[in-house]
Amino acid sequence: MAACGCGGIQPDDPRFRELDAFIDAHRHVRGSLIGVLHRAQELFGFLPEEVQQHVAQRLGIPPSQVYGVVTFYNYFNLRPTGRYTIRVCMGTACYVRGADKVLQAIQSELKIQPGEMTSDGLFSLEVCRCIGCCGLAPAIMVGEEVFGNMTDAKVPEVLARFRQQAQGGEPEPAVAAGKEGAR
Amino acid sequence: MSQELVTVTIDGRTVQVPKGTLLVEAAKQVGIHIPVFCYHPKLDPAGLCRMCLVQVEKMPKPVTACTTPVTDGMVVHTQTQLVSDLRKGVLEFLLLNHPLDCPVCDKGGECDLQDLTFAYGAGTSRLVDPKEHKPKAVDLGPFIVLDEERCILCRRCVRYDHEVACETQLVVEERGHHNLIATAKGQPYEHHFTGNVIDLCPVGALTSELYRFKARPWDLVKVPAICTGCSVGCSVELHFRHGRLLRVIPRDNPATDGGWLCDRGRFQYQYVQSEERLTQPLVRRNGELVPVSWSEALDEVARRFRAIREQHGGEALGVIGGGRLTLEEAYLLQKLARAALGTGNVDHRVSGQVVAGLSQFPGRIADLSEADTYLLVDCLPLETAPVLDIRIRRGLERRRARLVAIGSVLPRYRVRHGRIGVRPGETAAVLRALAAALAGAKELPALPAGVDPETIRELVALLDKGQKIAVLWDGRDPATGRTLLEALRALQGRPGSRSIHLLIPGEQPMSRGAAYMGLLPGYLPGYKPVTLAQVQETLRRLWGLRQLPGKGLDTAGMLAAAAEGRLKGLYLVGANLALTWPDGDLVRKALAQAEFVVVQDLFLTETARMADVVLPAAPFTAKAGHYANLDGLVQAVAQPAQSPGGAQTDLAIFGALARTLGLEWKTGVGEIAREWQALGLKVAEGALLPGAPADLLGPAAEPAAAGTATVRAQDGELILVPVDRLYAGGGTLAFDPGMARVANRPEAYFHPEDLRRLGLAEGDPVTLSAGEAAVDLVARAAAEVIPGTVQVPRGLPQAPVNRFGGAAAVRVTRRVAEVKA
Repeated sequence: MAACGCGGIQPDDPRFRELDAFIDAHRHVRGSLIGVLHRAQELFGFLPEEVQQHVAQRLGIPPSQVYGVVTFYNYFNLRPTGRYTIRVCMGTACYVRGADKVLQAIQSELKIQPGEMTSDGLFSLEVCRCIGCCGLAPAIMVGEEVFGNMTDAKVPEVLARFRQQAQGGEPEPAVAAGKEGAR
Repeated sequence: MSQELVTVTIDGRTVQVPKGTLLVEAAKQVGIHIPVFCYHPKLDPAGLCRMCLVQVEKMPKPVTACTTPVTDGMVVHTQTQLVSDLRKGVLEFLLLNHPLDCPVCDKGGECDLQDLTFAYGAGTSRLVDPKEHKPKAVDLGPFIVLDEERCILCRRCVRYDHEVACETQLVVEERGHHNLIATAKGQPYEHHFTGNVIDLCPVGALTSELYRFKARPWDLVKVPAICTGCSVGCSVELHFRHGRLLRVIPRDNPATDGGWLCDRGRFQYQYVQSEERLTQPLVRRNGELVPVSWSEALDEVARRFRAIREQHGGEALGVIGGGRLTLEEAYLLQKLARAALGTGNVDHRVSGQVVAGLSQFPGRIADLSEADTYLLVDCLPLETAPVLDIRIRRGLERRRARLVAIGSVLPRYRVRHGRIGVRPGETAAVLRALAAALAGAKELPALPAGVDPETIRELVALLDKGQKIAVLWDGRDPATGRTLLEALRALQGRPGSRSIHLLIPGEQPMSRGAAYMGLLPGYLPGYKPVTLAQVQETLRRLWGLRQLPGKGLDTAGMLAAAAEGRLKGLYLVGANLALTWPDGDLVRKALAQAEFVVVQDLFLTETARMADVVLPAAPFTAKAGHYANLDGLVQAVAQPAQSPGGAQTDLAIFGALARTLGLEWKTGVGEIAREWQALGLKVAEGALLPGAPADLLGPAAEPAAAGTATVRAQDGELILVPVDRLYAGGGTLAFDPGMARVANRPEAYFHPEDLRRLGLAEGDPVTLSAGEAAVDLVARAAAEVIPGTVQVPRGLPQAPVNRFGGAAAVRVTRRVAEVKA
């Protein structure tokens, strides 16, 4: 994972070769750009300028078009992401049940703003629209896990679990308070 | 659009329009104005802004007039309460986040959003929440400043960039109300036609870096004019405030610009009021150029020219007028040379271009918008006559026209096209083979190395498919011109019918007019040979002469004669030969050897510095008269503005010089028109001047055999190819503060392979040298450069490529970082 925030990916990065194989297999399919960008993000974790330029050149389309698509979809990241991406749902239900306070708590706990990554590379924070757990509002996602009925007080507990998990290296069974399985 | 007519009723008025006409256009024809933001007649319909919603009977919901083609029997209402509410609603949404900074906005006073809000908007806003904030004063490119908050996201700029400029650099970034107009991250918005987005923007989002905060539109004095930047002659409007030129915008002329300007035409105007402009005549006294009065300077010129003529005869004098003269000025200058100075040594060609328009296969600029096949010969229209390239790009991308480029310089287009790259001097051999193949020869003449005979056969097949073929040639190498004509004649002779249109976009803006006016050795006005007794007689009578000088020397001949000391006096008008003539050494030698050199120009150019007398000329903004562009179209201009200081128009200077020489000439625009009439020349607004006779290309000598490029490169050498670049050189660009941001840097362009082979990288400082001559440049890789050659822009003041005297074999060495004391 590219931890350095500048996205300094070298042109001889071996991942480009893997990406090229994918591009070449789909080059002649109209509308293959989004698929290619998915693959690129899988490989690089995010889509820095170098990768976008490379995709544009390899697909023979203007760089502006790639940039337009990358910025249009929330899914694509322009900046490197942490090991765990925290997504705070700001859908209507979560919002009226106090998602903003949860977000505030995460921000002050991690000292980052939405769209940023912690300096240790562990967490990145994002704000998203409805994640489909309105019954558990307010809800957040950490990585692939959903945490419902969140309060600002529960934030340190949830984050601590992932810090621990990162240190231990082993995924733990879900024990945190309020933890619910996704959908 | 089909010829079939349909009848449509709009607000009770009935109109017949061709089937397929958009509702918004049909309404215009009956004088009904439907408000729009995103719609623009020159762009594809988009239906984005919803401002043009109207009601159509039998349709359940209001429709956008900008995307709805009319159908027979359609009944439309644009003045109902519902339509009025819709307009009010759309405007309310557009204004939600629009900053109301109209008092400081450049667009205020000519803003569609302002005007339509005044006409259809609500008086108050219901918005109580804070406005969305977005980036302001974003430097989008060298000339464009973007205010994202003012943007209403009509996407005219983005669509223009895709559909017209065919660049696709602009894009809409983000989504929903975070939408921004942007380029790909980290890329400046940079190509030759960026300025047009300013005109297209219906609000004050896209503004000109140069014009920002300079004036309010209602304070501007607006004068129609013709752009003299290149040979296209685009119709422009000059906007002055307090006598200062602050802005140039296009006036849509379907015969030339089609409503689009290049960035040089639009943004290069500050030189007109540059502090460096010459305002007083200068005369060399004790080796120094010192300011003197006009009468003193003109007396000096008249006295010295007269002395040379008396001592050595008229043929010891030479007159060279650059390509910036009006038709009247060109006519008067050759008359001054022939009738007052008694010399046939007159020419207008200062850059090595031989012809600017031929009488065979005449083409018009508009033909480029209809051609299905383009043949480019040694020609980079994008760099010499940019607006032509817009038509070519659109032809390639939208009409799927085919294009083949042949030559030692090849253009870059993003759609697939044919390319035959050769070394300098080999183009004629390719064309000769093409001519033979077109004429049905089984055996083709030998081709230059690297050109496959099969390519020529493919080219023949491609040309055979063309119904309307546009040919562009740079007009430089006479042998290329002769073989090109030969090939086109062979093409014309093939079975099937087709039309062939030849255009010669030259480097000098007004060459075609100057040549027609007789600023050409051996030809009197109207391309009449000097040897023609009847014309001689007419002119002798008209000009009151006993003897008309015969055919004189051309520019090359004059320079050679001066260098050898045979030509004593030179009169150079708007001709910065030291920078533009292909052989710089010859120019320096000629100017040093000549006894007396007069230079007439706007600035103290490289050439003017070597003169004995410098006469300050006024720029195009001070001129009245007629211009002829590259397809011969005559366009009239009235004098837009007075020239500051003591500079005079070229016409006024020629007149004053004639009077100082003791001649009673009447030299007004009207009097010259009467002389044209007497000579049977039809010159008036809208007239089309004929092209030059083909014998201007010289005798039909055998072109050099294939494979014998004019220059051969030894091991480790590359062949230097001077190329045109829009922002290099020119007599005015170097003196224009606004153009400094884009002016070409002294760079040499290599094929990436050559660069690698030489062990060089992009950005390395290099020296090109051949014998004594050496020029310092920075290395750049460019895929369109032909392997084995290196391209250097013509006319760079810091790195004059004419030191090498044209195409030459050069050695490339990497410069070690210089340590400056």
